[in-house]
Amino acid sequence: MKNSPVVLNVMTGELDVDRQEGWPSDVGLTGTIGLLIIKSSELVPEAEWRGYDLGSYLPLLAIRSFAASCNIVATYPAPPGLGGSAREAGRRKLIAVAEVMAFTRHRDSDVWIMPLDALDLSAKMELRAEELDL
Amino acid sequence: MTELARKQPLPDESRDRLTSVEFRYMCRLSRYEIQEDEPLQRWSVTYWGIDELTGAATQIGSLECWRAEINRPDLCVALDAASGDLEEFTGSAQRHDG
Repeated sequence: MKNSPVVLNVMTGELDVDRQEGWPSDVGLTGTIGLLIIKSSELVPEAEWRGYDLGSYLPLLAIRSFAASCNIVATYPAPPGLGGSAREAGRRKLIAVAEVMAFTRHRDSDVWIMPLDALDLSAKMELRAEELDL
Repeated sequence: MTELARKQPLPDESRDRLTSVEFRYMCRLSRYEIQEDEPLQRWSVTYWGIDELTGAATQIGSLECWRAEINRPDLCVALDAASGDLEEFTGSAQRHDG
């Protein structure tokens, strides 16, 4: 695992206030930042709910619930419990799902973010629901 | 409350259990629940579907997320996810179970 600096420990909420690096200017944030980190998202394995791209829609419902108090949503698309080529294939698939939801890659990192300030989430969801014929 | 009516036919292996017409509109996502687990601002979201034939609610999906509020706009949130495990999302920070 990389030993990169940690400013926010999401497990404890601890902040390293000595760091002066800012959020990237491309997300355009000022003032208090509300950060929502998607830790996991899954559908049940039963076939009834598979195959309709709900995996790219249901998280938006949750994100919308937090949208009033969050500026950025961040996640790391990766399949749990896989290794090697299967893991990479799963990762590519999840990245595609994240991009459908309007996540974009944060610089060259493995983190994908969705700046809510610049996104009309309701319009995005309406469009996505229409695309999915929901 | 969010209602998400299913308008598409279901996969063959599922449709075989019921007639296609009944099954086509059988399920809808009727609600989702958010539960807060303080003090880490960890949230668990559960999506439920309703079987319109039986009225039974079944869990169809879930989401876990963390929310943090940062009052220093000059701070950088380092999101280290080299391992691909979000439990290691915090880079060199100590891992915690759960």
